[in-house]
Amino acid sequence: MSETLRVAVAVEGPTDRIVLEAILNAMYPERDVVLNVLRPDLSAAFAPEGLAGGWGGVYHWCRQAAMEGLGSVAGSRVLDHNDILVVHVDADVARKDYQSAGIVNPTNDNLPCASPCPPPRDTTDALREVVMDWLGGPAACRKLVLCIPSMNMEAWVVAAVWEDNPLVGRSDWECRSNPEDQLGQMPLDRRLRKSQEDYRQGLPLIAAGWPTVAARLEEAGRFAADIPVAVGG
Amino acid sequence: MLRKLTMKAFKSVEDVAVELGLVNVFIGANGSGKSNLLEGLGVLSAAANGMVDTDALLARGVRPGTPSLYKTAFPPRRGRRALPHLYFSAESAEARYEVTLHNPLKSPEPAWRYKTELWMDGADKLLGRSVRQRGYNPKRGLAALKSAEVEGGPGLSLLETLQGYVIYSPATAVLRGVEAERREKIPLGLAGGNLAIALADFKRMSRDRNSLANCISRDIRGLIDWASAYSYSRLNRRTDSPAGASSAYTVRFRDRYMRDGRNVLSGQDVSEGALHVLFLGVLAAHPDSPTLCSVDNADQGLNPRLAKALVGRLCQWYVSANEAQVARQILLTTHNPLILDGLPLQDDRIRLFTVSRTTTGRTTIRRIEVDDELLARAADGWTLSRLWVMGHLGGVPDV
Repeated sequence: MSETLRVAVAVEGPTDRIVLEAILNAMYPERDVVLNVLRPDLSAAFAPEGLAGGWGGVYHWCRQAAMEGLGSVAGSRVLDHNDILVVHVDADVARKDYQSAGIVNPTNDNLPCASPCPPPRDTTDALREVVMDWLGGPAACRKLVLCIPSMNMEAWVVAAVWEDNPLVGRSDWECRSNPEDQLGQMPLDRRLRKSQEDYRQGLPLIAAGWPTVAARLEEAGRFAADIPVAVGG
Repeated sequence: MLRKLTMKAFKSVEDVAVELGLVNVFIGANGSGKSNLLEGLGVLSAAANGMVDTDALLARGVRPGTPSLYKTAFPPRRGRRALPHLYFSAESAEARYEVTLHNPLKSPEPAWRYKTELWMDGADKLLGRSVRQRGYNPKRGLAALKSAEVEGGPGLSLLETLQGYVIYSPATAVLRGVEAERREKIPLGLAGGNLAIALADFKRMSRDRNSLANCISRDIRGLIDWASAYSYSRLNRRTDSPAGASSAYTVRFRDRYMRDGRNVLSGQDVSEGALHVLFLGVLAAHPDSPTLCSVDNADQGLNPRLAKALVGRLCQWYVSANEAQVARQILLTTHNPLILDGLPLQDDRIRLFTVSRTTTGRTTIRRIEVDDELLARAADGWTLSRLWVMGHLGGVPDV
């Protein structure tokens, strides 16, 4: 039996976690993969918007991990118990401001940071810098992988499950604000709603479609390339 | 809904008043008096139902005890006389029921005697009873008898809410169906018995996509992430574990990782956390669940993060039920700090209380409200759970 791959993930939501699970299963079919989902240490009583799910939750976890790591996630103990760390936020976060997630005093007021799209890369590069800032700056470690699907994770899901969708083939697919609109229009035998239940059922389909997604979509390709580097490192 | 509960001279509760919300969480050291509070409400429930004896107490999940155990035994404070009786009062927005009960310490009787009763519906007195009134059986509550003549209204609603109150103490072996339920109740026994039968009703209700049960069912699936589905069925002698079963039915979970045909687990085999989640979900949704109930040690068998997520969902369930005009109110005790982090306390209907004992041993209860001071701590990265464990909120033992 191969050595278990332990992956710590800070993700926006539970469906994003399932997609990551599918991707890692696709990339490492021979390895046992354990996903450790990271959550910020917060009280619902102090968070009127809820228990800081979404990208606000990722922000809070990054800040707490940087603090625990004495300034940078590179010093955090999270990597003592995990082989790699994946931090996910959707690229559409680049269009938002901190107040929209109830974040009152951000470390830097560096949102929004979106650029014209296409190309998606200008925006995702800018957002990567923002997330690295959350994580404590450029000293972050080589086992860290940023996962920034453009504009959001559903662009990858639709591309994986419905690869002959004509929109997916267009150069601006990774710039569409609401790729999840296509979920409800998928062929009946593959149709998914954005729910944990449907995504769990569709997990094998997403995993099967991942190589195509990584080959066709720029940000998926970057993520697919970064993961083995971190795992190997 | 019960707005205020007052009790005097009951065990360690010498004199306490609590203003309740829909979901009420009590934290405190072992022996601080959390269970006494729940049980005091149980005694009041029995009184509202017309008889306070061992059977009535056991049926509500209250540990029966002798009068010398039930009556507060603190030395009286200087200048004050100890109450010679137990006193309980419950108030809703428009009604009130209060009662004093007596049982001689030296020659205890099987049933407690009513000294006084007062039952108010707004400003109208539905019933008054004083120690000077003769001719009534002192062991029978008059409000319960009078209720047969009352047609609706807040007074009757309050009395019926009290009468239906029970304390659940779910036990894993009973939830599994391998130990018999000692306190049968519809829909769930006080130790969680009959879960499979109650689940059958729950599954039927959840077919309506707009129902609370449907919403709770989705939440349960999200909370028990290793299961792709759950249901109930008759026990199968061929495929189920051979351990002795106390019920012909069992809950079933389908393990989403295992192959079809070998992926169905019975209540005997499933993780205890899944059973406790299911218990709380069914209790919240079932139409026959009591309007008012307690769950002692609500965090049993739960991973801390699951407990935190579950209590957050549970608060939503009870708020949604009441918004849909289904009266539901619950009191919970817990020792799991992360439960505190799941409570949306900025909603006034969700309340957290610390239970402590004074230097003289008297139980005191204090509500923890989210104020500017606490929010300032939150801004500095503090959580309620850490504040509690460090002792900042009270309700911790001196160890």
